[in-house]
Amino acid sequence: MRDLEKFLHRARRRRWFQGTLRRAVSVSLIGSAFGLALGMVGLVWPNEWTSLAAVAAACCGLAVGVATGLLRRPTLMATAVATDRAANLKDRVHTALQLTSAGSLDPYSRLQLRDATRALGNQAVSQLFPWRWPAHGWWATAATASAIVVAMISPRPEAVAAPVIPTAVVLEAEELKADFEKLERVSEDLVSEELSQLARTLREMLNHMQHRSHTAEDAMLELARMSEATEQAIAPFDSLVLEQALHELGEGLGALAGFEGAGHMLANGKYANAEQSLVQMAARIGAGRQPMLAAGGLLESRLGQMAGQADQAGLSELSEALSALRDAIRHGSRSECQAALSRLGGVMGKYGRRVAVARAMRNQLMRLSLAKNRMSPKGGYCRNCLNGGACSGGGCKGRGAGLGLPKMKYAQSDSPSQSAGTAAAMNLYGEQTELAGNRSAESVDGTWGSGDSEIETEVSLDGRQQAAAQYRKIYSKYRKLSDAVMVEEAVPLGHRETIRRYFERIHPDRVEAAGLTVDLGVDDDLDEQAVEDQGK
Amino acid sequence: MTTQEIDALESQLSSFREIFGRMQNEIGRVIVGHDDVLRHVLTALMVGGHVLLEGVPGLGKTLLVRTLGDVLDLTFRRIQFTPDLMPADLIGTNVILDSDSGARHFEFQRGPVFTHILLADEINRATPKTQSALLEAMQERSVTVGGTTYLLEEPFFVMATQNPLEMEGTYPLPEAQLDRFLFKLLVRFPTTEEFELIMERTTGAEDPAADRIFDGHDVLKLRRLVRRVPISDEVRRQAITMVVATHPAAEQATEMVKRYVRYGASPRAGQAMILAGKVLAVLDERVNVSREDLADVILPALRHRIILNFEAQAEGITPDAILRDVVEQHSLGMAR
Repeated sequence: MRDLEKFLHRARRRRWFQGTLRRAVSVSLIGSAFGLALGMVGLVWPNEWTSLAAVAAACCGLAVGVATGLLRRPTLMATAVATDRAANLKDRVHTALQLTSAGSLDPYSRLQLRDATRALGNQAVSQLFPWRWPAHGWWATAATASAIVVAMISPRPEAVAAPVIPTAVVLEAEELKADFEKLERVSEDLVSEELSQLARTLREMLNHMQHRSHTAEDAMLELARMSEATEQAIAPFDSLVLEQALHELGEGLGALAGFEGAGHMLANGKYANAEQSLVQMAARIGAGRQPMLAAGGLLESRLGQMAGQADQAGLSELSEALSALRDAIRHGSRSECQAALSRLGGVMGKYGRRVAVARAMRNQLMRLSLAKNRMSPKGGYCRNCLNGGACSGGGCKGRGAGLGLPKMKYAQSDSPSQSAGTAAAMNLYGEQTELAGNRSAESVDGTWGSGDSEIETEVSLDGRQQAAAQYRKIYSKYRKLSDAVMVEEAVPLGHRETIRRYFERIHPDRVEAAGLTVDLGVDDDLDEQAVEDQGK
Repeated sequence: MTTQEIDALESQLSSFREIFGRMQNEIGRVIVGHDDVLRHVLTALMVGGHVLLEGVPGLGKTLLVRTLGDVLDLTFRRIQFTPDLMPADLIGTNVILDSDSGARHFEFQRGPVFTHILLADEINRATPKTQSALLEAMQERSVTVGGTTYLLEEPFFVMATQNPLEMEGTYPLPEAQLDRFLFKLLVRFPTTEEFELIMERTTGAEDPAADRIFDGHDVLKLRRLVRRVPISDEVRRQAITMVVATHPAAEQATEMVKRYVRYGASPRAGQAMILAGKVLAVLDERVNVSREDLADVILPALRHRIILNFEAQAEGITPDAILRDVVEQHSLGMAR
């Protein structure tokens, strides 16, 4: 390998790394700037990925820059051209390289190669291509460091203070939570997919309300959704008809000999006790400790009537159980009677659980409605408790919440009235305040007419002179402007004459002498004259 | 290939530089200033090109050419172009001659173009027809009259002078003829110092004269020597780029070219740049043409080959301004 080529290989290696450094810096600058922007976004809107993305962008910029720089290795010819430029060798080196590559052996090529080699003799690669920190190097470094720092100081989502849930929402949610648990317990006794689904839905909504409702309005919305879900689910468990039927059945049974206890319990809505009474009665009959129910036309007839009523009320299961009991009594079979009593007890227990669920759901609706009322602006909470903030105190229901003070309890009833929760209160915000406003109405009449004026217009000699002086000043100003334009710009002769005559016509002396009002418009005479002059 | 051969070549190139320098010195004894003009005239002579000198009367254009004829041991003729000059006055004509036996026959009477160095003085004062009579002589080195072609003896070197086109009684040279000139050189008014020296030399007792130091064979030898100077593909490509960039429709054209140029330079412009660049390279003790050489000759080689449009003429844009813009825009167009 000739000296020239050795030199060029060394130079190429150096330029390759220098090019890689330059590219790394350039692309890194872009990546870091992007990362910095991402970091700033993370500062303003903290989230999980911006910090990571900011660091990744800065690192990727550097990596891509290095990779592209390494991939773009300069050619020997390019290095020769660069060497020519750097050492001001007037294209000696790259010409020699080309002649050498072509294998040219004529004297000119040899002489040229010798000339180029001689010219390169005094040059050093390190001097021709010295290591220099790239032009934007410091900017890239600063941008990268900034991106990393910003990414590090960006708050993590968990560190971000969660928005305050208003006290009213917290308190109401806790109250509702207890009711929901009760509904869930009751629902467990009655295996139903719909009820399980409702319980899950309400639980989710309650969680949402507890953790995501940042204002009372949000909570009210959630409460409305919960009410809607409960109302939709309550339809299949509507127990008013069932309760009425069971009440009548209880009264009927209470009138029958042997069924007094069970009938009384049934009439009073104590379905579990009634079930237990019938089951005990069946056990006693089975054990022979209780005499067989006496067959009689009245009992059979009464049971038949009740079976018919139950059938009409849509309680076919109850109707069948009563019919079975009637038949067992008619047949005088102890075992049949025992089985029929057990069956009737089971049906009552089942109906009882269904009624209990319905009651719980109605109770739930009532609770939701109460919660909505309490969270209305006049529902008892102060503004801070509704919108998030320290309780204002006074008569607020949220007073003392979060301070270790006992929170307010609402009276609960295990036996709500039959009509509880069935009506809707239209006046959600309560009645109008009774406080009388301290206002005094006063009627103000305007005075029609010209009235007094603060400005007086005088027609006096002083006034005229003042106006004339002002006019002269303005005239002089515009006349100078006009003259300047005529000197500096090529205004046609006809127009020049028109302008000149215009200013003569409105000259202050002439106006004052004539005592005329100045009309600043150009009259027809002037226009015609201008056209004529222009034509010439 | 031996080292002796390379040394011999180096010695020849060295003597080329010496001869060139001596010619400059000899002519410089008579001509004051115009160093660049003189250098370019000699460069054109060394590569076999013709030169057009432009300048107002009285700047020494004719003296320069005449002195060059004195320095070279070559035949020299001068034609003063006038509006009534005919082509036959230039290239010659067939005349009827009586022989001793009384028979008559045609004989070709050679015109002044049959010379080594031809000074076409004030060439743009002749009609285009007469100007065009020089076309074949300049390009083909031959003259055809009456169906017979007569070869001109080498070296054949035309130096034409012209007055600026704005002057009265001038006919602009046709583009085809302008393209035949290797260089168009602008002869400018001398500086005050040069002016003083001119006055001193021309108003004294002695009339300065140059010695003959050269002959035609030497010129041809030097031409052959110069033409073999190598040029790299990169530099050749740069020359081509510069020529193409003068064409308004070309991709490389600058904004100025697109706006002011009607027609760009012909390929002859590229040849002129490279050939002249070879001479400059040897003079700079190099054996390769460089971009600096091209930049050095682009103005004289291209200024008469680009035709400006009306807008350029109206705005007073000169070809030199456009060419400087081309050099500026394309000087870095080398491979990475």
